[in-house]
Amino acid sequence: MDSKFLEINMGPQHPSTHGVLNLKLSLDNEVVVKVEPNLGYLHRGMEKLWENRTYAQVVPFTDRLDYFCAISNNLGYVLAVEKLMGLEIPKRAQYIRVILTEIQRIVNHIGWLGFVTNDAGAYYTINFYTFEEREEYLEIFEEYVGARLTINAIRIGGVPFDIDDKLISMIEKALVETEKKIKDIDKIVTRNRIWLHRTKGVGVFSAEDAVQFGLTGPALRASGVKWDIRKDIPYSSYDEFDFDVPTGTAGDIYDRYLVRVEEIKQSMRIIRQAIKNLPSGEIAAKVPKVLKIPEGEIFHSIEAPKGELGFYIKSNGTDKPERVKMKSPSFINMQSLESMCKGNMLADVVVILGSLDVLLGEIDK
Amino acid sequence: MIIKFLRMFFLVEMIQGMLVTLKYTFSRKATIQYPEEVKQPSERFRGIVRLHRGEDGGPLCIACKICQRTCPQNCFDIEGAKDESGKMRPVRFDWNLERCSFCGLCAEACPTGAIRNSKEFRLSTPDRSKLMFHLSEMYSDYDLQKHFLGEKI
Repeated sequence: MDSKFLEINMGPQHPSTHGVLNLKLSLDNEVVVKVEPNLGYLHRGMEKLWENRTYAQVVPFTDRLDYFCAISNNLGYVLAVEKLMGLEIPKRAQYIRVILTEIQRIVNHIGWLGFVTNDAGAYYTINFYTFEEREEYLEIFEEYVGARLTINAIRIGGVPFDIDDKLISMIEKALVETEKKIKDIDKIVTRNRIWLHRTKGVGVFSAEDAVQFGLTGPALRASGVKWDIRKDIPYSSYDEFDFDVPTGTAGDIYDRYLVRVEEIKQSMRIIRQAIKNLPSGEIAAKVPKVLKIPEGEIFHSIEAPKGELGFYIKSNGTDKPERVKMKSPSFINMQSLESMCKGNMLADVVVILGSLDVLLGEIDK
Repeated sequence: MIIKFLRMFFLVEMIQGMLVTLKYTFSRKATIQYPEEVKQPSERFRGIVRLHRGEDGGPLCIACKICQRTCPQNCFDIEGAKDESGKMRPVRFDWNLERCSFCGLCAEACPTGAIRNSKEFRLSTPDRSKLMFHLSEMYSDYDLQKHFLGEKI
């Protein structure tokens, strides 16, 4: 390394790295030249652990990967297992899954909104408003399945509980509250000149680069690429809902913010449609107590709030998977960090990292 | 152009934001003062796992070990034997709180409804050995707070 650059370590005990992440930064005065993420501080050996668990036992473990949106992880794994089994899921269970995952998407995006404004300097004001809103949704999860964060709310074959009128009224009330809250945050943030200075033209990533680096999720859509697995390769009857895929143009942090706010609104649309058209019937398909899956392998990916979440499962005919490989969106998105940060100021690294919405539980597994 | 300048000069967007924060200053507080106020857990709350007795007061557990096989974290260690009426009952029921991840799979798998999640969420103790539960300590009528904190409370 050329000695004229200053090398500093950001993290692993840094409040803005969203977990235990170490970034080795090379600085030319205050301009970032090189970013080297150093991963593995939260490694728990998840993929190896799953090889000693039965298919149903893996589901609670997937909660702990991306602990901010646990249901999306549950759904990704469970859909892969069901695809490998060739299991048909009742329509009502599919709709309940859609409602739960879309609530989870709102929770993730609204939580992100608080964190990223926090990173940009709006010290905890908006974070408190958004977390108050997140609390309402966590109460819905508590009412539905009994846990708040690592909820284990989806089983192989369906969902554990049915949705009743009390829960539906709770969801509808929370959606109305969220609409109000988003309007308030919009008033504070969207035209605020500090926010504009911190985000417009910062961390710009072109659509070409984004595709080259395998970026997925809202960050990719902010660069102008219209790619949403819910729309392009529909799963869990997403093709029956009417929603738009918002895209940005500039590919900077401001566009990522706008895309995520628009996605919250689209998620609300999906939840309202799902509640309105909720079909009657069973909530779980018949699954044998000891689940043995014939030999084979499968890869299935879903649109998690952070990007494309895929599970590869190889079965050897027993009740335990031979190999489960996870394609986590945060890990893939992380590799475009260096190109985004190059040429920006040191203080912008924190906001760019926040705007990517990475979570270390998912990166280190 | 002039409108843009005026908006900038009079800090319109700042005042707009400040008004929102002012509104929240006088709105209902969302915080709960925990030790004085305790939020009631929901109906399906997944707290610590407890064993239940039947209507006649006898144990419901038949030591079938389904919970032991279902548990992803391997919390259970159960041994059963036939009692005088010829029914299988647990003679040893060790359950490790340290390992439990509160996933609720054991309660869902139980064929007799003996094992259920309670609503108790205050599970801290200064003594680590108290995190290992044995058969007599597993029943729902057992005083957990006395178990965890001793005579201090």
